[in-house]
Amino acid sequence: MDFFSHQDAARRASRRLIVVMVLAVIAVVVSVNVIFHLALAAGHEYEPEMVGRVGLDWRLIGGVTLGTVLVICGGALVSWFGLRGGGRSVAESLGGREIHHATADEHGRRALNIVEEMSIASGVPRPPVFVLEDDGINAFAAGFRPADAAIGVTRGLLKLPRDEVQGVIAHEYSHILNGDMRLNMRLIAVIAGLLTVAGVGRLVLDGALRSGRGSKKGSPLPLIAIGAALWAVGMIGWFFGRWIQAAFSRSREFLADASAVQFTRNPDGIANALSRIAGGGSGVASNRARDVAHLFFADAMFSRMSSMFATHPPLPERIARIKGLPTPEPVTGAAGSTVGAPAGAMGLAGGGVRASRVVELAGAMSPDRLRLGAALLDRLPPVLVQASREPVTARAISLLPLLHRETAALDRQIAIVHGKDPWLAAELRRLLPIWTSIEADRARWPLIQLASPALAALSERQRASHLRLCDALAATDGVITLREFCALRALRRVLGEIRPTVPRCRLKDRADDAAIVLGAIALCAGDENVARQAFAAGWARLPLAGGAPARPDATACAPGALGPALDRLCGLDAAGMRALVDACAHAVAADGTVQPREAELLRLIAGQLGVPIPAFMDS
Amino acid sequence: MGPTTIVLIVIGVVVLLLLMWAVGVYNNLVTLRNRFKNAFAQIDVQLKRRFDLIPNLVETAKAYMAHERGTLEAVIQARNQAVSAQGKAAADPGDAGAIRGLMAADAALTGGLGKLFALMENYPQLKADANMRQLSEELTSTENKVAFARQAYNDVVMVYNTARELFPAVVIANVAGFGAAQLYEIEVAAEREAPKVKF
Repeated sequence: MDFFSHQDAARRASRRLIVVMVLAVIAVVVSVNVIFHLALAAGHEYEPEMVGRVGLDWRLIGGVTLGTVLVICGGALVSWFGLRGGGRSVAESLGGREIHHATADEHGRRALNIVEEMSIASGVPRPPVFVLEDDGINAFAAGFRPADAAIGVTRGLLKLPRDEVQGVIAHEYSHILNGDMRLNMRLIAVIAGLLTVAGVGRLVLDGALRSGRGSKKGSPLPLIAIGAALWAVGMIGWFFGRWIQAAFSRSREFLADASAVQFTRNPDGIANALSRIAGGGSGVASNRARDVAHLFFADAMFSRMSSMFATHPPLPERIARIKGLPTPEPVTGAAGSTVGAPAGAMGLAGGGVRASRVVELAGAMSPDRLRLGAALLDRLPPVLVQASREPVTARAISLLPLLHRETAALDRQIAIVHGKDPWLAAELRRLLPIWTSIEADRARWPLIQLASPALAALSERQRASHLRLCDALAATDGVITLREFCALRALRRVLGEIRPTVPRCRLKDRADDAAIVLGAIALCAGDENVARQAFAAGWARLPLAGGAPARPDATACAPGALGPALDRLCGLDAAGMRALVDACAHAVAADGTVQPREAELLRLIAGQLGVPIPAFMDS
Repeated sequence: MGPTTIVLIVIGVVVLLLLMWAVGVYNNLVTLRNRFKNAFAQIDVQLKRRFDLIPNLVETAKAYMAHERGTLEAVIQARNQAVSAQGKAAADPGDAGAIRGLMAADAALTGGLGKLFALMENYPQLKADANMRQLSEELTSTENKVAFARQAYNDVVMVYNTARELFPAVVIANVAGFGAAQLYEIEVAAEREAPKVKF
């Protein structure tokens, strides 16, 4: 399964689960109705004059159903709002403290380095790392999409040897890449709703028992009965919910373990970490931990539940599966294979990559890539890497791609920055020579990805101010290039802009939008002839019947049209997305090979479609 | 089906919805509180950088300003006190007292540095020293970074304080023990100026 199929599988599972959850809710509502009717029937025995009124009371049914649904939805909504803020919010609600290079201890810095290497190797923005003060060994990844993901680790995990820490973090990264997280968040919200009914029953029961103790008459039996029954029904709903959650979670966890081994080619790393957990326990003390249990690496619950309900598969089983996995061997050539592509095939002599190979690199990870990721991180100018780690300087990093090369325009831009913040302008002047000295593409994109969490850490006011500055810079010469447009959109997402979810669609329904995207790329290629060739080359890769349409002209591909087109294309299914990315690669490559300069553009566009393409690296 | 039963059910549901709203508010306050604690970490990073520059600065100055021992010692003292205040604040950014302590120690350090730089005007050789120029440059840059981190922290603190002061959330906040967070401000107007280093 490659990156695209993973996303599809996650979405299908998501749909299946919503259906099952709805059934569970219906079951709960029906049960609550039954309880109230029984209670009322029983209650009538106490009021002799009401005897004889049996049968369905529709007002009662209506009222109870409404009440129950309200309660469940209310509980789900409360949970949903808590999770809405993204990975960072979840980590904060669990009490996690973000760690930074400048102030972290040796173990913390090591974890940060591991996360940075993975970010470069996978092309996904670097997630912030939060530490939970707990001696158990555990980790989680939270967030709806890579742009707002966060990774949490316990203090106990940080103390493990480097390869074990790397194995666990690779596991969490694979959750991010496989698209598990959106599904997980939804699960948490729905289960919270089902749990509320049990909670209500508990409240009523407690209240009835307590009031019964106090009053002279003795506890009101019907109330106790209602409370106990509600609690029982609630627990049924709870079990139902947890069972589904666990069953779903289990298969994803095995998948994540397998992916992590693929990333690191080191089964021992994860296996050892799991062995330690089996020995030492992994409970995390936090009220929220129960809710987010299956975001955690191992079972974070203190109580040992029976294996059917444990949210993660039993440890011995996981360890056995990991040890039984075949270590991935490099596979050459065949299209669609993504396991461990050899380093040599990734970079030709000129540093370019064959256009047809690009799709295989998307979201793919292998031990070679991981090593190369670490090597690339080492080669990046330390000044720039350092700057990407802190919000105040990360702003400068985020502005660098928007700066013009030509001196007059550049001076105008720096003047604009100076008007807002002289210190930032000075910082730009300091960093710019280093930035331009980097080989065109190899290091720029990784640096932007590394700066992503620092930018997200800006306060809301600062973010808004920074966005205005970016817009001003992009508009200096009155023309907005495709590169600038995509860079701005990516920046907006990092700085917190929420994109609405898009309906799923097929490529043949979005042929027009695909044409706009390919047209925009073709326009960058050069003059009329070259543009026509580029467009044709890209369109040929799409599995659409009928000949290529006319190449859209400049107005058709303007930002006003391109933006919505990209948004709609985010809903493509696996086959369609793969084909589109392939087509873009061919449109960008002038001669069938994607050169580093062209690769940056490709990466920006693919990023807008939600497809991570990592930096190309030669050995 | 008596009216009392209907009323009871309705009341029950309303109470429930209220409870759920309360839980939501509580969770939100927890998240916002952790957010400002994390925002403090950025101030921590920049202050550490600032405090780390001081010993080197003082050593370089000592070579030229041997007679000004008093001022130099005062700066080192202030710096050490600021470092210890920083440790307390970093351990629990939710402790308003610790934050105020750090603010005071930082202000004292700024005052000491101001005196030191004023004195440096009398030592042109020191001013020309390459090492001193670089250190002063870094110090000014760090001051700006501290200011920026402070701004971010205060923004987040404002959000938290507003959330906990709004009615009716304030009821839950007080019951659950969410105290007001301390804004990080430079208190003394005279010391608001970062030490101006002009060469």
